[in-house]
Amino acid sequence: MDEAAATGTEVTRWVLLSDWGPETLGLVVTLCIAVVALAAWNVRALSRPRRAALLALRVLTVLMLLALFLQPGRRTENVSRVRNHVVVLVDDSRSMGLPGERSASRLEEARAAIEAQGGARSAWASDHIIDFYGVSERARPVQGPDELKPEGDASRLLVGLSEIGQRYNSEALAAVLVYSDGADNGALGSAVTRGELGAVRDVVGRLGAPVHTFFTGPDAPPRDVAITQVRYDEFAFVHNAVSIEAEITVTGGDTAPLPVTLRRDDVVLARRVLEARRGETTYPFVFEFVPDKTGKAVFTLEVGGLPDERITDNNRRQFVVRVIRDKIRALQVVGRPSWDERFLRQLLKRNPNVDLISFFILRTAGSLTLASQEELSLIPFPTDELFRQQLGSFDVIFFQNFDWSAYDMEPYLEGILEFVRRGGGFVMTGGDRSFASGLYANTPIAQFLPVQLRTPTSAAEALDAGEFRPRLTEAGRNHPITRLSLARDENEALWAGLPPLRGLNLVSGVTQGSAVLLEHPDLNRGGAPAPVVVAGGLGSGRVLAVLTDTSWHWDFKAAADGGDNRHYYRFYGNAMRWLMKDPALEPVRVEADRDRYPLGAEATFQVRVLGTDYQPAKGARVRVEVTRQVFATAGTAPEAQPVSEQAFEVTDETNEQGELVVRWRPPGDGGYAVKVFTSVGGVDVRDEDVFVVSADPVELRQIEARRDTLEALSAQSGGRFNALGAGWGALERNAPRVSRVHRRSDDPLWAGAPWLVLAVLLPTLEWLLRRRWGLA
Amino acid sequence: MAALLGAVRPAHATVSPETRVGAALLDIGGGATARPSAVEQLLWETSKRTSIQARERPAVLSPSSPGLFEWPLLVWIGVGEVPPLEPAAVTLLGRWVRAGGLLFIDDASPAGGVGFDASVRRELARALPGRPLKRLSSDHTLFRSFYLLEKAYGRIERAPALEGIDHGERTAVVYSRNDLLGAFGRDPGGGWRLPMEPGGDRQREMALRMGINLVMYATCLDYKRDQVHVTEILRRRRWTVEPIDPNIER
Repeated sequence: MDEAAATGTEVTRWVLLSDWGPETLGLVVTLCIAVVALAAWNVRALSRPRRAALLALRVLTVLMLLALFLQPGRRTENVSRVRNHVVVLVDDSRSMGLPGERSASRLEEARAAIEAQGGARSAWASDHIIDFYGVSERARPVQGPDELKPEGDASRLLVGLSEIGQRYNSEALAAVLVYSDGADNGALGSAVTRGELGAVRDVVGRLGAPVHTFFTGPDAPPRDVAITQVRYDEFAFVHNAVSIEAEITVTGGDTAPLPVTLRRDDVVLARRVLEARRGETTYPFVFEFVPDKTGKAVFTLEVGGLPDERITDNNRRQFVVRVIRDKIRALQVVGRPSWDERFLRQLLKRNPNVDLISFFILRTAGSLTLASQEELSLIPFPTDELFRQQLGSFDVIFFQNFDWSAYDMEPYLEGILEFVRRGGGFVMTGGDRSFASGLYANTPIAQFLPVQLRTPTSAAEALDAGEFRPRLTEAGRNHPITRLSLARDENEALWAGLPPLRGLNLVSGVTQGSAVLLEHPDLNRGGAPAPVVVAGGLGSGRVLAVLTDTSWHWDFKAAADGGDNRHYYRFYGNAMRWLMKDPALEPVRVEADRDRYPLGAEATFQVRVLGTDYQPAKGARVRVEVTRQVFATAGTAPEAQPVSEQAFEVTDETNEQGELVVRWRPPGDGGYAVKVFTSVGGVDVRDEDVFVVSADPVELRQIEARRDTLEALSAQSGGRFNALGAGWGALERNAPRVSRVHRRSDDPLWAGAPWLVLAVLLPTLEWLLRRRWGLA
Repeated sequence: MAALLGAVRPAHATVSPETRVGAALLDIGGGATARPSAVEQLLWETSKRTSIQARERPAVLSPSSPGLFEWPLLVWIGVGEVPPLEPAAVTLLGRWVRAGGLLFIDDASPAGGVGFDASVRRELARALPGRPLKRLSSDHTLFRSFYLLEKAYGRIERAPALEGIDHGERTAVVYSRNDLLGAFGRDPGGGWRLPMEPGGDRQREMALRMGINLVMYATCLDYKRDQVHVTEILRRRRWTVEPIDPNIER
């Protein structure tokens, strides 16, 4: 630290100019005592007066010699005292912009109070240098409090004091003065709340100087509603309940009931009402919901504002939750045990990502009983539990040769239709109880199957029993389900080399928008080859039709020639991924590099496009659009639906790797959606991602002034807690300790003439008296 | 419903009759003809008593025939010692088991006969090395795949338990020393070919149930064992909460 110019002062004091060590001094003193004792013994025979006289002379002589030995003298020094520092810390966080005790802001009142200490500052100038700092997230030096504005995003007084401690060594600090409203949202605030002041003591202890605090107030809390805490998991699982917990603080008096709203994107998930109660300031809320699709979403929690509320930024919080899938929950419903069911079930069970629930019809109404119920291991088919109570918990449903009409399923078919429409996956495999021969025509199930069904009037209309080797269609060459190999030619060869199938469910056609992936090489229906595997969907759900019950040949029979079941597993594994909308299979993807950006940061968007062959698409033209969620007014009318306004748009092409990178700086805080649009194989496709930009105003979560934090600071440091207008004059400070000696002069006593005269006179007189009195 | 719609419900159990649930007999040492019509009777009973529509007439195949892979269920009946199988047959059988087949071995040899048993153990050790036959416990799924059974039934009571070899999570080889299929064959007059020992209709019925359980296990594997976990799995996912009403709630 700089040290100011010295002020010289003459200081005089008595000193011993000799530098004898303590052992020598001890020896000499002992000798002197011995000499005096010897003399006392020597004169013991004399009369009292004569004895006293001789002893007195001896003692005086010894003292004089001792004085000569020690060399007393007078030392005069010219000393300069270096001033130490008084640090004035002024809180310039955002809460200091709120009103203090009077109408002005807390910071303005602090400035005025400091200005009023001009007299004290002048009086201190000789011993102390006064340094000013602003403190919010950290301390930074300023010329004076006039430079400060209440803009800091947090109040961390302990961090500021630690930094002061590092800048000044303890000898350089006279005192620290802190002007603040005490609304500390760092370690100090939480330590005082918890009553654990060890950390506070450590920080102020290292300063080596008292900390005097000045409280701006106000004691009465401002009228404010703030969302002080939101607890949520950044990841949630689809079809699993999610909890969002929040704390809302109301200060400054009574208020009418306030609406609390939770939104996902622009959809209201829940509304609550906050009813403030006297004596309470903090109100917890818990919101629960079940996400029904994977992906990211911006959630907005908002509480209505008070009419005279000064700060409304803290009435709204936005955050991103990413919904992912845990295990795929599959329901396999089987009309009768068969080899087709047996191998598919084994496949599903072996998949560690699948939670499989199977129900097989082991006995029909026409089966012979010949055993009591207790001798059978059978249970009733739980239609209501599966198709109403638990239907929404499944991700995909398999119907394998399941005769719906025999099990009073009619009331549940609409529910299954809705299940698919809302995003559930569905697979129907072949058999005499499937598709048209299963009487599914004109049922709700038929509305989402990707094939057209007509109720058959003869067996030949519904089923064909012949053996065939299915053929890959043009759509099948590009579709992820039928991609056994990424190499096109190899894929064709693999399909051609699989064991033949036997038996086909016949349909009258495929529905619009569906894709035939495998077809019969010889049979025709409605002018087109009879389909074998068809992929389609309805609403948000995807549906797969496998029109044979012998796909198990691709597993078991493939081993006959030394092959294996890889292709069977790959086929159904691809099907599961497609049904679940695995993002890796989507033709276009966009992803923001973060879920949350601080205000002012640049966002980066990664776009990836795949061609019809699912290879990276070079030169694909992509339009990127960013929209921002705008609320009508900040935090005062949460019922009002937010609107999306376009914030940014650009069109560009993908590179060799089928990728495009876009960088952009969001202009303000809020929820954003980045959307990409392109065309793949003549089909328009799109994708979307979301993110939040937030200033994260920790400072505004709690704006009530706190005198207890400032009281604790002072108490732990030996300083004083003061009202804002208190004077500086009586404040304890460390005196300047550092001094420099410019000149020194010594004036030894023994060098003077009187001492020499005494040195001769006293022993001479003693000798004369000894001779006179007969002791010489 | 079917009548109402005037629909035709085909009589086939599967789209193609050839792909119904059936079995093939291994032609080894003359055992394939040791129990005439037994497999047919078993499969017929299975069709009558369960939802399975079986293909009743079994094929007869050499153990070295690639046709094995048309049949996920094979039956090997033995009445005495058999010579070692050709290496190609051993290899093929091992591959067949690993691909997903279930081999049922039935010892139909007379009382005191140990030749077939020794042959079975020898050949299994060649086809599936390192995997000896193990006793199947009474809580094996085989004993509750359709009927609830407490022991290994057969025409005779030579061994109290079945033995088996596991492959992965399934039992791929099941071995009975109790001449199970001997309980099923009928003579041309319609009567049972062979008497039960110690005897009784109840024993024959229980043997039939054992056979039906075997067919059910071949198609359903451990479905019945997994049933006990269904409730836990269903409850595992908390997929509903209190109804979220967009109207104001207090």
